[in-house]
Amino acid sequence: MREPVFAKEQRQILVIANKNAIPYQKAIVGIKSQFPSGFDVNFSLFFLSEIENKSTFLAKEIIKTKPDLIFTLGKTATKLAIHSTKTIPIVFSMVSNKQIFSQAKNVTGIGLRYPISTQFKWLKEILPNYTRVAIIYNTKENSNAIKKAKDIALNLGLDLIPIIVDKPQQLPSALDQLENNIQVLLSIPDKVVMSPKTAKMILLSSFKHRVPLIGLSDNWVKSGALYGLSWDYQDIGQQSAIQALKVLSGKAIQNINFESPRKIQYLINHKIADRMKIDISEELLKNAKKVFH
Amino acid sequence: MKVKIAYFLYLSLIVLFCQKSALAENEFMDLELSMDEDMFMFEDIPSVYSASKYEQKVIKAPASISIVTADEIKKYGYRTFSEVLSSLRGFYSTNDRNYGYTGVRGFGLPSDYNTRLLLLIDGHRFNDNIYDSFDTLGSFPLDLDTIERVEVVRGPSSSLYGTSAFFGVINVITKRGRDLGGVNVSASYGSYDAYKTRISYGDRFNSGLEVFLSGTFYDTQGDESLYYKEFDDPATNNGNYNNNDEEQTRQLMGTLSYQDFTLRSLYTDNKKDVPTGAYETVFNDPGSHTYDQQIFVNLTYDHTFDNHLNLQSKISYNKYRYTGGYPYDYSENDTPDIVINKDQSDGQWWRAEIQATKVMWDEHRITVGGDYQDNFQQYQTNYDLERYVESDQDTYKWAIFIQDEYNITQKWTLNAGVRLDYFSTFGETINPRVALIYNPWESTAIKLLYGSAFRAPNEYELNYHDDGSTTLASEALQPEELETLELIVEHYFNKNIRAEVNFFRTEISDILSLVSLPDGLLQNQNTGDVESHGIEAQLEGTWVNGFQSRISYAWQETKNKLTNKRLTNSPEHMVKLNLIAPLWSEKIFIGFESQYMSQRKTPLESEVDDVFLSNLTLFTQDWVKGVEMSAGLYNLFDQKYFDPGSEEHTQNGIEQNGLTFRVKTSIQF
Repeated sequence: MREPVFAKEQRQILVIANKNAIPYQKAIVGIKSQFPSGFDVNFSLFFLSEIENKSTFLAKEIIKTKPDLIFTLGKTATKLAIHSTKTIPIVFSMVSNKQIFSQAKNVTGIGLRYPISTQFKWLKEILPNYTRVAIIYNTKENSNAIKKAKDIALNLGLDLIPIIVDKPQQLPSALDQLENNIQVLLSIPDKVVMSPKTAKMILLSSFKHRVPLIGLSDNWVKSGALYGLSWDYQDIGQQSAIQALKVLSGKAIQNINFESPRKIQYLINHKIADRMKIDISEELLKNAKKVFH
Repeated sequence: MKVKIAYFLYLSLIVLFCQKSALAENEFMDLELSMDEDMFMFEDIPSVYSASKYEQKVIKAPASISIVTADEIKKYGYRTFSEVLSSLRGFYSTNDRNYGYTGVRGFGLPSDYNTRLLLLIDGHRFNDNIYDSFDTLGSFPLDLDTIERVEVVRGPSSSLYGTSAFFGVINVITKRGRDLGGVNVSASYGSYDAYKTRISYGDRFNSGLEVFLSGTFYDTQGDESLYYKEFDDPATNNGNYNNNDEEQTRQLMGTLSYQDFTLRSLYTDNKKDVPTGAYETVFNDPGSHTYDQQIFVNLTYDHTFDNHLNLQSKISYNKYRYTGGYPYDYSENDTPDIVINKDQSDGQWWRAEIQATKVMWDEHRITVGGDYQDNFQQYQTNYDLERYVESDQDTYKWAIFIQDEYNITQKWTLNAGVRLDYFSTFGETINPRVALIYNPWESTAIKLLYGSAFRAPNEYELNYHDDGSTTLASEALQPEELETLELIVEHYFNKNIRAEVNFFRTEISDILSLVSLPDGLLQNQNTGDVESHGIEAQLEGTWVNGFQSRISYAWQETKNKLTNKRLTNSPEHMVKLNLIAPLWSEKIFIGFESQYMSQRKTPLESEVDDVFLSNLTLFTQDWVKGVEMSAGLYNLFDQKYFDPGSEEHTQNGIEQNGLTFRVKTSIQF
């Protein structure tokens, strides 16, 4: 990596996080730790959940501090930043679907979503005998992703069974299809399917049909998904800081691509594995970020 | 009696409200990062299939629902399906030491043979084509260990299921291969030298093929010291019925699934001695017995297309055989001349069903379907020295139905359906059901239901006669008809505690019964109307640490409209307490249940006393991986109690078992 050329004046950086929760705190620690000790920077940190007038606060803060760069952590914070400035570079993280910010020209960052090829690779690692994989999705948001996923699955010897749910009313009949011919349900970020309102229905259907669910996040695994790929939040902070340092060293933000987390971790719900009579190797259990018993 | 009811209510309220909520209320503020403390693992699924023929939330179902899970069956130590049903509010069981009968909402005429309830096995209609009946004791077709869950839908459901869906529908959902994942063997031993062995195998293979196979053998010597005061005479062994209560049951079932196809098959037979001297047979004669055998093979196709149209079709072959041996003394002097009178029925039928379900215009879930049944054998005979009855009929029936669940707004749902049934025996009947469901909050449902139902005259009622020697042929029998209006209020106080209250009013007309004519002959006729109304209330709680409890109370008044008298075998009050408590986290559980039932009238215009029964089961699991053990005591306080006899009995009441026990072990490989 090329050593950044640091300006001598103090850099003003805004850090806007959705809320003051542990994952965000870890990412913030990661961001700060990545800046070299000689780098003169002033971080102004805000948690949106603690701010009353969210719509105007950021515009006021931009006028007040004239930031060189904005770190956003979480979707709400990122949306607000994009809405507030079209010129100041924004580096986001802690966002599941990075594509939703692809229209903005002053944005780059680290999405939480792993590429589908990575998901499939880990599926083959953890459930080597499971080949019939269902993904429930809405066509408006995910049809392109599913087209690509089908090709990737085919190359990996997996049979991808896409189930379309364009309206929430279609979800029950989609989940009924788990009964026949499906071995595992892979979840992807999807506004219609994977919403807070549908989470319980999806998890309970997974138990009922004994079709393991691959969760979207740590909490999905804790709540009953068999396993899920996870992240090292501090490392994500560091990864986004590396992007920021490139921007601050003069590289055009448009030339810095969105990235996925570089350090892959996973969690396993061993209780679910037991109930579903799925054997997970000792080695996988040993290397997991966390195992729920 | 009031003291006992008050005791139940008090005890149960303490049990329910002393439990702390184990989990915080479900809140998803940010799905990616903050599912926080909520965990859904192993919660029961608050959904039901049988109420509308598709999966729906219980709170949206157009009926009052009860669900019994495999876990409850194990932890309460249930031995018979009769025990499962009698644990539910408003249900009660009667045992005449031959068959088990289920009463519901105050209607449980002795020897009803459960013709006014519909039994489904994985959605397959099980009631036979001779009596339209099923048994809840030894002839019940399944080993309880093979049941995954039981869905009970109260009230009329003929708008979806046709005949016999009169007071309710019971759908027994069996285990799948994936539920077992290997071999499971169990053995049990209990009072009256009762032993049962079962071996099951199930798995789902990587090819997608799923298999479940199970076989059970049960044998008991029965009670060898039965005594009936009505027979306390030296000529009838002083009322003692010895060595003639034996029972044997064999059960085999298999399920094979691949992709959208499932092949289910089941064989069951049961031989039971009849130790009551029923039908004025020779008392204490070992020749008195019944034998029931039932077989079905059912092929199901179930597919959901990309446009979310779900199509289900079934075709099945079914067979039923009953034989009975009834010893009579034909001697005209002091030397006995025992002749075994043989009663026999053979039924065979095939059946086809199809249904399609789709969400249309966003807010309508529409189900249409139809079925056809060809009863190509309905043979009945009775003979000994000569043949008294012989009949073999070939009949058929078909039906079409439509149902719409219309979500008018987020809070209001209308569920309406109607079914047209045609029977080659009597013609057609149309039965609707309408439910207006109001959900003022997500945790509350108020349901107003109206439905009608029918029970078609069965083959026995139509054609079992001896041309007027004792019984006349029936003439133009019509179906029994029922109309019910019901108000149900369901409320979840939090994710652990739920309450339900039902108010119902039912009118039944043209009840079918065997009538004594002025000339002394018997004939099946449509006679008598019944009205029934009542209240059922239940409070239940479930916690993630394994603690479960429910208390229910049912009051019902079920009267013959002509005489204004309470029906026979119709209790006015029932109170039930069920409790599962973990004694050692996830390893040892205690299952306790108590049931109170007020006195019941008998066919001899007398009564049997009220009943207070308690059962206690200790259940352990996972001390050694895959091993489960249980020990149960039934009728814990050794209460002496009677069920009403029926018309064929000399006894006013049939004495039931006192304190009994069972120990059981199962091993999973």
